[in-house]
Amino acid sequence: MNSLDDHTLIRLVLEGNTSAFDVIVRRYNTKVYSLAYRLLNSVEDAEDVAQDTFSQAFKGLGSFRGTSKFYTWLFRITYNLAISQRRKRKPALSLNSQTDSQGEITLPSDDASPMKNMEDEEGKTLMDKALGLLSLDHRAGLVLKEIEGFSYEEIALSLGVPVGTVRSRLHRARLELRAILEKLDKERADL
Amino acid sequence: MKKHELKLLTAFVDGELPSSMQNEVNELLQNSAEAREFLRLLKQDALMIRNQVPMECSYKLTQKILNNIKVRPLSRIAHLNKRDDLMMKPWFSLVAVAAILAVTTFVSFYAVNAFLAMQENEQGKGQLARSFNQNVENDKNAQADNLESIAKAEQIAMQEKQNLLPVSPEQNKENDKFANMRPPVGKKNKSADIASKGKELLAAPANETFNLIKVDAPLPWVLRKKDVDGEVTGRVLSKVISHDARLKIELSCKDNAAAFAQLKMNLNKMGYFVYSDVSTLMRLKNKNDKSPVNYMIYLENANVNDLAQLLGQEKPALAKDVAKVTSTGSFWVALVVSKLSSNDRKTMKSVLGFEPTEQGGSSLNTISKPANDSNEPAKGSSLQSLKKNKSPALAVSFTATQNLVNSAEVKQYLETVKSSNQSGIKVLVVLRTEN
Repeated sequence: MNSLDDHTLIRLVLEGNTSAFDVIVRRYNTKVYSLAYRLLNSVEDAEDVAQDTFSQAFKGLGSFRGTSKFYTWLFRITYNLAISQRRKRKPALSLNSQTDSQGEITLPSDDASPMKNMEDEEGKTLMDKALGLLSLDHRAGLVLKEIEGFSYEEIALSLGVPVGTVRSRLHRARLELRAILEKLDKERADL
Repeated sequence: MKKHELKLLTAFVDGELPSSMQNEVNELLQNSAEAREFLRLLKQDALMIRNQVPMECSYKLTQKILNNIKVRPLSRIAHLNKRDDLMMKPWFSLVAVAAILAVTTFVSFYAVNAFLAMQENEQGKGQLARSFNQNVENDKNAQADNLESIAKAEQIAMQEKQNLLPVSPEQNKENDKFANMRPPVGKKNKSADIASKGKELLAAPANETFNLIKVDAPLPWVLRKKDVDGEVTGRVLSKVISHDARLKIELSCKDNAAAFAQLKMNLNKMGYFVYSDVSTLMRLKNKNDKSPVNYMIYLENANVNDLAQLLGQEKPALAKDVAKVTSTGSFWVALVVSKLSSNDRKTMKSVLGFEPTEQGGSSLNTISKPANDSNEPAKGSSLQSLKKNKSPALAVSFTATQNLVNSAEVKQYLETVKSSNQSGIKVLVVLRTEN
């Protein structure tokens, strides 16, 4: 059953074979959870959103028309639930990152050394912070583009906005991210 | 850097740059060190995002999700979900409201109608007649007169029935007068309903006395000779003829042969070149021929004035021209104008071999090329030019066993029609002898 495509699995679920949905859950749980986490910066909230996403998807599977890819439909549920979750709680300005250190931050380089690995980790932390300072719309666009590798059209379907909006959002998101990173770099240099 | 250039570079990093702008980006990168640096930073940012620690969904969370789903039986959820979806759709609410309104309107309409009908039944004939006149004529003075007349007529009729009053010849005449003024009770509701729709058209109620009543139906249109003093004007005809460009006029005549002769004569006077077959001409000449024959006249390019003139009751200038024209000069009793129906077309096709097309002239269905017809009588050049200058009309007789399919006259007529303008009204005149 693992080799079946999404639409076949959905058809099986709708025909009463609920175990087919298990395959769907295992296929997309990491992606959904990852997106939820990137949007909410909270493990707890991301877990709630991931659970609700699959629960709602299961409940509303009959309304999935099959005209778009299943994962864009699933990510749209995740995105909408993340917005709702964020409204419930105050926006977290600090990331629930793996390290809270404000130490040396360097940008990744081509050097393959222990120092490089450390710098990479710091770079990730810097990026976590920068992403956390972006608006939810901009963050969602960048995450779907860079981490999921979506096209503008797929992002548009996932966020429920026109392609033109995606194009301008990503443009502004990249400029905003660049500005934040420069600011964070400057702060680091001042230290 | 310009905003446009920044947009180009971000689209380039996204891999969504239109091919038409590729050269523009290449030029920008070649000529601007700032652009190259900005692109490097954008690529670096993208790489940093991609290099972030992937968030793995724990086994525990996966089990939680799966357990959460398994507690919900799918069939029930799906059923509820469908119902919820349906109820949430905006159009569903609109349709529901519209349906409720429609049902309420229908119920109210029939309830009110039933109530009114009950009331009317209780009120009796006199009040029925009054309401009829109110609806149809909307003339209160006339209504009062009619009520009085009706009451009197009813009283007289009742007395007659009960043999309580001897009826004198003078009273008899007066009774007839009142009876004629009385509207037909049996037709009241239908006429009133039609009249209430308010569209303009003339029609005759089913009563001896002809009243002009506005009714809804555009056609057929009925006119009796005595109601218009034997004159059909273009003004009267134009009211109905404007409804369609393909008409059938049925003439109810005392003698259809005489009426046919009159129509033929009228056509000649109007400048039409009338095509008639030999047997038709022979029938017109033979006064003693009383065999049942049907007559029809077909015009392709008529107008309202032509028809008014055609149906006029003018007596023939020379009696010898038309042997059977009645001495009264009134060759029709009533006429009915209606649209040319598919049945009429079929009849025409079976009798004449052609039928009027929806647009343009007539379509020849069963007739071969007229030019090859050896039966066509030779015509002189003067006659040919005469035919060309006149509008063609076909005036023929036929019986159940005799038709004019493939006849020379029909072919000649169609040939003439082909060369003439076809923008007028197509009219089939059918003559019937009134029994």
